[in-house]
Order: sequence, then structure tokens, then C-alpha cells
Amino acid sequence: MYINQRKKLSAARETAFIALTCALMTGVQFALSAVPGVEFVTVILLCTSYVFGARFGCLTGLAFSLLRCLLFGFYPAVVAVYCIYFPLFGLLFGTIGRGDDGGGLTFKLKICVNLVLAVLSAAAFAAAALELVKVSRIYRDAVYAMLWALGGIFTALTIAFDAVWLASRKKSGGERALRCFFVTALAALCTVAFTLIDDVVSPLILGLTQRGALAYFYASFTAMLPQTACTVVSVGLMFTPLTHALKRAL
Amino acid sequence: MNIAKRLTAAASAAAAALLLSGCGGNVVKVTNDDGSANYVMTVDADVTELDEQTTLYDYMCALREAGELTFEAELGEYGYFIVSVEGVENTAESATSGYAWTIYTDLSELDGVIYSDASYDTWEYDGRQLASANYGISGLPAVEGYTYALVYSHYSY
Repeated sequence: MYINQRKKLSAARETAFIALTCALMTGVQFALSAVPGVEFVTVILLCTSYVFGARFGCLTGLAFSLLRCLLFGFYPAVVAVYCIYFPLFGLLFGTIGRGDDGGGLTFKLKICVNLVLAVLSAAAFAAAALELVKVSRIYRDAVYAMLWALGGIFTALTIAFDAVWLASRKKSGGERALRCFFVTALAALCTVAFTLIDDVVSPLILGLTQRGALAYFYASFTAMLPQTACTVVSVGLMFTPLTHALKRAL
Repeated sequence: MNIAKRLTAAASAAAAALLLSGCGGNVVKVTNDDGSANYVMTVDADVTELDEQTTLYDYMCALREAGELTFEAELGEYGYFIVSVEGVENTAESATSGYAWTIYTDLSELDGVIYSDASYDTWEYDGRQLASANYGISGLPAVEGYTYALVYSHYSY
């Protein structure tokens, strides 16, 4: 039985689940706040939204964006970025989850996954090879190592996705794995988008000059790269078991 | 008479130097109008061996070992950040305002990398304008001849 065939959450249960998910996300973010680049907020919101739907995802994303300020402070630029990104993220994966009827991805979606992964790996390799990221020399070696590694991860994901796709054409099965690849690729793209949104919103709110905004953009790579790698690993490994466990709550 | 004037001038200069350099020869203490103290360092290879990977944090640790600066820093998501300097700690007045140690420097751009920008904020020192740094103390390189200031700043959002 798949998600869209199940009953919707009652209003009381939905409110309780939103509160629980917010508490979990805030607690996990606080607990891991001292560990650079490691975060599990993405995978938690992704999986809960996927199972409980778009409204749940949007409301949870918004509530989390506001509640986390009690621990981390009310920085206007951060609040704005969070309030834009997380509700949209929840909305996106809630919608995708509602469309999951247990069948396979459409041919167009499979092509899209290939394109997204190819663009991400090409961007990472190009940035590393052409030394496009003008970051502090203290971080330079680490940033370029991460760019090469990310390019490799996305290339490996592309190959694995296509291998599973080809295998599933010859014999049944593999469709859940393809969906996991699809969600992982999209989550990686969203993580990159989060930093890019921040690179636009924060300089506008802080009133930075073009030069200041450019410096902010380059410096943001030190956070974006490990976060993207963490998203790929955490979503890739936890999406299937976590959504399976959450479906039992419905 | 001349000797008395010279002695007075020498004493005044010594007193001024004492006021300015509260922590040692490589750290200059500067007092703001509001009475808060700030600390200015111009990176010198005599303090510690400098290379491409020497950070401001490394340099400050060398100054601390030499007894010229007292500070505490904690490791956060984006590297080390200053918690206190000379016993003065970051203080939150509310969820949106308080006082915190921030870094200003005249290291603006090096090898195509922007390390500070005046649009973030500026701080005047010795007739020069230092700009707020784009990185924390463990992300900023300690480059010989450049000046770095630890400024106790008020923030509010």
C-alpha cells in the first residue's frame, strides 16, 4: 500500500507530528552545530514531508525556521533565507511523495535525474579544474579537494543510477532504488540552492557592495560543499528505511 | 630647563606608550570613546614562523604563549571564534543585540581573494580604515605587515 492510497493525517495528529518533527530537527541541528558540514535536518524534513505530504512539509519547514531562532538567534538574513527555503523544500518533497504510487519513475524524470547529476558533477569538476572558487588560502586545499570529491560522488551516482535503470529494464525490481537516487539528486540540488539563495538574500539585507557580495559568495563554499556531501550520503542511506518506518505511523 | 623639558617629554611619551601598549610590544591596546578596549596587532615574523597556512588564530596563540595577549576561542561550525579577550567576554543583551569581538583588518585582497570589505563595516585606527573581515580567526591568514584589530563591537539586528 502506498502513500496516496492511505488516509490523510487527522488535524490533531498532523499538528502533533509537526511539533515532534520540529523538535527533532531543532535538537539535531543544535547537537551537531559544532560539527562542520554535518547536518541531518535535510533528511528528516525530506522524509517526513515525503510521507506526510506537502502541507505538512511546508508548515514544518516554516515552524522550524522560526523556532530554531530561539536557540541560534534572530538574525534577519538567516531567518529570511530559512523562511524561504525550508517551506519550499517541504512543499517540493511533499508533492513528490504524494505522487509516489509505488510505480517507477517516468522516462522524463529519469532523464532529468541524469541531467541534474551530470550538471552537478560538471560544475564541481569545472570549479576545481579552473580554480574558480576564490576562497581564503587557509581553506583552498580543502575546498578544491571537496570539489573533486563531490564531482566524483555525482559521477558515481550517475553511473549507479544508469546501471540500476538498465538492470531494471531487463528484470523487475530496482524502481525503489531509482526513486531513492532521484530524491538524493534533488536533495543535493536543493542544498546547493540553499547556499545560492543565501548568497543573494544575505548581501541584500546586509547592504553589501558587489565586491562584498562576491566575497560572501566565495566564502560560502566552505559550508556548501561539506553540506552537499552530507546530504548525498544521509539521504542516500536513510531515505528508504526512514520513509518505510514513517509510513507505519500513518 | 631644557633637561627638565626633555625629561617631562620623555615621561609623557613613556606614559602614552604604556596607555597604548597595554599587553606587550606586538599588541596595541586602543580605548574607544565608550571606554571599551580593543587590541591591534601588526603581524611580525619575529613573533612566530609564518607560512602560507599560518592563520590569525595561530598568530594570536603565539602572542598568548609570549604573554602578550590573553584570549579564549571556541571551535564552532565555521572554525574558531573569539569568546573573550583580556577577560572581556562576548555579551548578549537580548536575542537580537549585544557585544561581540569582531575582527577588522587592512588585508583587503590578496591573490585574488577578498579577505575584508568596507561594506561589512569599518573601524578607524591610526588614521587608517580597517574593514570587517570576511573570515573568522582560523580562516584569516596571518600575513606579515598587515594589521588586524580585535574590536569589541555592539551588534543589533
